[in-house]
Amino acid sequence: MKINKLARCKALIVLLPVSLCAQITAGTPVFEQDVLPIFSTYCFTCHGKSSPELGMDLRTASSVLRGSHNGPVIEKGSPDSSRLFQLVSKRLMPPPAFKSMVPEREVETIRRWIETGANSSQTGDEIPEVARRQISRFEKEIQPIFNARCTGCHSSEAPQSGLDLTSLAAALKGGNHGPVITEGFSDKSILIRQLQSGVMPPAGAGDPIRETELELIREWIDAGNFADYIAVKNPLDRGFTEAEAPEVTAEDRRYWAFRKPVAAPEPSVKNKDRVQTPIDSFILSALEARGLELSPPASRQALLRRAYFDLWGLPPTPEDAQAFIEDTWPGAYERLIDRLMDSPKYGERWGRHWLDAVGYVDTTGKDFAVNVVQLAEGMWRYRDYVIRSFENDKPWDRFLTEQFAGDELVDWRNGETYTPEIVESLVATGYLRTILDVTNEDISDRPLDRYDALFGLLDKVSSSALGMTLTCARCHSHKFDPIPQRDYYRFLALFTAAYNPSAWIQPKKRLHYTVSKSEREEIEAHNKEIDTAVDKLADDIEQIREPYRERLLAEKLEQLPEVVRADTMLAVETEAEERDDIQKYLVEKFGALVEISEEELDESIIGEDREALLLLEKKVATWNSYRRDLHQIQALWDGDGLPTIRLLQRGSVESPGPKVTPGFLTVLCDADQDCSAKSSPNRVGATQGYRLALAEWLTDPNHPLTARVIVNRIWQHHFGTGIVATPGNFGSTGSPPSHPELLDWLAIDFVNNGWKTKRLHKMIMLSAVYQQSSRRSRNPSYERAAAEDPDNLLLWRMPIRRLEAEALRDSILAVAGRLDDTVGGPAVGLTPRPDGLQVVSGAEAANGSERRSVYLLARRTWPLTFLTNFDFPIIDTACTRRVPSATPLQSLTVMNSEFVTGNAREAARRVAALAGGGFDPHGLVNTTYGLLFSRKPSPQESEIALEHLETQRQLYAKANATPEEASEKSLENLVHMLISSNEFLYVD
Amino acid sequence: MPVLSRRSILELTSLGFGRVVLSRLLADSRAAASSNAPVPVYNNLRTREGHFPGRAKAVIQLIQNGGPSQMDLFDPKPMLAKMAGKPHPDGVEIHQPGNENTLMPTPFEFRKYGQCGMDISEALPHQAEIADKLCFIRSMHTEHNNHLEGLNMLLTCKIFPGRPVMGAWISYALGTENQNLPAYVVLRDPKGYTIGAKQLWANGYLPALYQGVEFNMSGTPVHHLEPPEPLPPGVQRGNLDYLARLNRMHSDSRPGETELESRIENFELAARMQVEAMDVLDISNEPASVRKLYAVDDPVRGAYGMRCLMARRLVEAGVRFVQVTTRPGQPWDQHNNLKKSLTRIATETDQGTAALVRDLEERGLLDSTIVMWAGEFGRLPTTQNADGRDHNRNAFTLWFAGGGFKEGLIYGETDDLGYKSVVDRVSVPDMIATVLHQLGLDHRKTLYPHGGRMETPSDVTVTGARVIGDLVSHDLQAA
Repeated sequence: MKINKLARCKALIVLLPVSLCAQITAGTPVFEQDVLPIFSTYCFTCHGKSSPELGMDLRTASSVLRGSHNGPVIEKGSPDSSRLFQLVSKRLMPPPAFKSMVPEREVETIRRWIETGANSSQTGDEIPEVARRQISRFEKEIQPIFNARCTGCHSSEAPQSGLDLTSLAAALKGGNHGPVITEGFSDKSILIRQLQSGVMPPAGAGDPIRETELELIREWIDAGNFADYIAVKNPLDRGFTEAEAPEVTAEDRRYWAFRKPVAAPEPSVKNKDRVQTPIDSFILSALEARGLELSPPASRQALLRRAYFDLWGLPPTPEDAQAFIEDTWPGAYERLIDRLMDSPKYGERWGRHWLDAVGYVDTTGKDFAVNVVQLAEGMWRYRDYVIRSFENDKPWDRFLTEQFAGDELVDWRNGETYTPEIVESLVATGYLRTILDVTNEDISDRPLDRYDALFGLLDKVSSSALGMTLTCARCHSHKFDPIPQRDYYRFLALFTAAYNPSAWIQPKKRLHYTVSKSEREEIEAHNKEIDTAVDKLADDIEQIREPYRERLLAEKLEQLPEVVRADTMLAVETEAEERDDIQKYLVEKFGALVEISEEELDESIIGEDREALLLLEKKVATWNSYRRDLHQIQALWDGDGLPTIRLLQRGSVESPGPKVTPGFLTVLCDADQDCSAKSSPNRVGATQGYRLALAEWLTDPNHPLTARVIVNRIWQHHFGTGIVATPGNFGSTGSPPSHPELLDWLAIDFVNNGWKTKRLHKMIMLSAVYQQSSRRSRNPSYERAAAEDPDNLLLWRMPIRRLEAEALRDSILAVAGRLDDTVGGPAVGLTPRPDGLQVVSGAEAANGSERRSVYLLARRTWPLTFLTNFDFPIIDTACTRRVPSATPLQSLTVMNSEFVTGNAREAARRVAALAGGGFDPHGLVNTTYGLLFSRKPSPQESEIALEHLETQRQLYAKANATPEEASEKSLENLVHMLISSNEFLYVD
Repeated sequence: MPVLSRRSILELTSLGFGRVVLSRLLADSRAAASSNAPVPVYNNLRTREGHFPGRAKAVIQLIQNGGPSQMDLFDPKPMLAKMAGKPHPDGVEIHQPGNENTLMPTPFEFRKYGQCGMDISEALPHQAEIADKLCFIRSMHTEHNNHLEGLNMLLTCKIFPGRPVMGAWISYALGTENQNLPAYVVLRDPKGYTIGAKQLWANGYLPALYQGVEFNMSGTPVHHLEPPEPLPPGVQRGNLDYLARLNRMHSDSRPGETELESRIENFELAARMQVEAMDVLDISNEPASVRKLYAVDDPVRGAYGMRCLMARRLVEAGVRFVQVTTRPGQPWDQHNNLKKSLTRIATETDQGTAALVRDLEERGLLDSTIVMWAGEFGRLPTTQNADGRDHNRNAFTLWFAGGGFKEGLIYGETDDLGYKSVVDRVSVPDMIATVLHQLGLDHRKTLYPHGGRMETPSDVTVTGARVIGDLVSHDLQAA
């Protein structure tokens, strides 16, 4: 990189003789002469301006000694414990992306400068000229504007909102809500925003500010260079303001979701016959209070399909349906539930629900280019872990604990070998790794980007496990919920031993494997030996090839005019980007003529040489067959110690506030309890233990939210809507529970019985509420219920639910008889087509293209088009609830996509085969209904189906189809339309 | 306008029938817990009134991805020639390696055009000719120096993904005129996506109904518009009629499930779209003069010109919002080889852009259509890699035409070296607020409840966005 030497030595050092820039003075280095030139050359892009990165201003000795937002970076006399020296000497600064390394000699200068006491030729109090000018500009130009417009209210005696604008020092201090001036950035300054939007001065308090005045203030703020010389002490080391840490009151704690669940007695009801499980008592009592009742029980067919779709996301096969309908022994339905839950298909279905809440993706980074997949290697192991955990009914408290702190539960650091338990515990922390972390690119590995990743993590964690939205409190204390801004950053600090914004590890360097460190070293050593052998063999091969290559090339050059031969050779050998225009031309014109392919070369080798070559190649293949693979996992683990974490004013990395220490949410702790987090004593190995402490806090049986949140989620996936309709937000801006006592009863029962999800499914599915019909009924109260509660919040009938995108795709494959039920493993790839459709890679079933949708590559921005059309979420953080949309694109997809039409054709063939050959329209219609809907058609349905078969058959016949074709096509059309119908798309 | 509670809103984000009835049963407890007043929420694309009569009905957004260089296109800086080769006195905020902090004059010739006397570079001869139709803002500024973040900002007011883009907000607030076409159509280069891809037309937290629909430029405009293989006459109609009967019987025994109704309606809409979308794409009835105007047969200018022509046809057909992108691969991103590389993309896009404005005017559509030409940020006055310029969020130029924007206006100024906007600065949220105003929408009252907060297109409570009255040719209806 060419850099103008003169330009490097600019800014504050224009006063210095230019010759000093490159000179190193022997003896004791002095900041201004020896160190400043180095900093100005290598560091000033980011650390030589107002509002520098992380507050680290390297322009004066005093600002260097003051340090960054995170504390001092220089320890006089001790280079090795000085952060600045560590970063520079390890070549971590300047960031590698800038490809500009501080030379050894200059690193040595910095080292000696620190060692000899960090001397400066200036006394600390000196104010540079530029700052003097800015400060006097304030006195002369800005203060008069404030005096005319603002100080009536923002006086020094009784300042409104605590904001005193009578002096520069006071103005910089800001008001109750923090600073109002962001040095260097007028558009980020609250003062400017308030003035330009006309909020200030308020109506009736004098004339609005003039544009010219506003402009003056903007210019002054943008020019910067004042704050450092006004604030006498580090403005960051202050206490929390009232706005940052408002008191959480007893009143706040009384909100239902922040109190622990209370066990209400099971209510008594009039219609005791309908009570199958305690759930029924709660629902019935609310209905009876309004004079309403449950709908009649659903048909066995409806119940069967409901159970299949709820637990598997797949329709029953005709044989399974038959078996269930014929099983008239008591308990048949309960046995069905047990059988369905005892299957990987159950894990796949319910695992996917949790993966939504987690915001699961297989990719890393932003995933913005459709043709480039940046895979998070081994992420799929976490997906399989989730599926397995559901299948094995892992207690929910254990499941959460492993995901938050699996790495702190096992001693993986010292294990000679990893047990399956260790691998499982590490893989579980993949939960914390599915965040949007864009820092893989060096250019976007900056404090801002690191904090963005942490913010995303908090969004995910709080909505999935805690059932709260904390996002508001990132920038200011929550307006509706009692979440002080301080609490947000305390909560964030819990994760910073692992995701350390001051010592960040890029995703591509956060490597962990399925084997221990010593095993990995052993494997690497093993492979290295193979590398050495293979390299040696490669040299031998090259020796054989070389003379043949030269001969071939000579022959090829013969074809070229003699004058260009030498130049063409030179051009071909020059790196593509370094070729000049003539060379580019030569390569374009003659490159292909002189190119020698590997096959061509090897074919030209003959006789003994050829035998020798084949022998060598065989040896290489043998060696390579001895290689051992390393398998990556996406895990999270702690580094050494906890960094300094500060509250960020307005959520901005550029405006840090006071320090915070790890802690939980005040409102969820007892008033007399200190809500700060202590490292968990149960941690295993050299880890900080804060995430484990968080997991223990969350899974405490008395935690007001954790059990309610998961119980509600499970309810939501059975009934379409949760008892709380906003599953990720139980706060005051969320939806209130429709049946609060039931929610509490379920939560307490869940915890008391070992946090088992399968038990909860069964209790729900055996209830009369779940087993009631979704159809219009002859109940006397039906019409009244429909008028009074059209949203069916009281559950006077079973709500119908649209299949989720995956369930729809899987079901279509299932009725076509094509579903591949292979379990687990790396994701099935997707291919972008030029027309913009994202399709499954490979048309052949051997590529897994017909596997369940949960195994398709989960891309952040480019999921399968079919799935996105049916509301599969584009993941920005997580998805707490899918809202089913109904769009014309969905209609077009089912009518015309190759996927649906192709599978409809396949299903029609299956129908024809099941119906036993021949074209018996009645038989075909009955078989179709059996395959698609597990039932027989009604007489009316049968009639219109037959009519349709006949109409279509005639239309095909008119279009010159043979009678067989016409029959076949009409059946395809019938099956296709029934697959496209609402009965296929909705669960009753 | 139905007034719904939040709970109902959650139930009702499907296309079609909004449920007007509030559930009376839980009204009390809900009212107690609710801290916000109910807001109108729409879940269909029917035409709706704005907050006041708007000047424009439609928007065509020409996205110039890469960061077009303001000092080489619209904002010449003679001082750069005087100080060529010297460092910038205050230093500049850089983004990528290879920066030299050496001031670089523009390699392009500039002349003044039209009554307004706008300086336009030789790279844009066609736009130069329509200078008097355009409303230039030279004092734009944005927040981020990365392309993706910059594009997110330009379209959503925020640098991170997740918020609805301007086109989605407008479709949500106003619906659309032609019920047989999508409200919001995206015309992209068939060779690939602009960085950010579908994020550029994302509905964010708004219902999926409001996201941009990609129209293909050849074959069928919408995916799955036609069956994979042609069907004999009458077969498709027969299928749809049968399907409608099936679905009708199904929904009759499940009253009160409005989503089922909208699905029945959708199949009919889809069928109508099959006809209408194909018509829009068919330019065989366009006269030769129009083909020439847009240069659709030119190998260099044709692809983008065709998208501009298609944009006009869509607006003519009653589509609310059309988004046109350039070729993929950051074409306006001149980190090196400024002269040649900028000339290339300018040549590709200039004629089609100018043709669109002229054509709309000739057809009397320009008054009611806002044309917006904008990239995600500007470029630095200093060199990078010897003959390029790095990203610059502190200043860029964009322009509007039509829809009540002043004609031939040159608004705002950058400093003498073109590094920062200094006079009449316009932020991206201000710009979005102003566009909405022209459509009859008050950006502060265009609301959608999300995550416990009332969201607005300009995020006004955080950004302090305001409508810039000086940009438009009539009195403001709202700030």
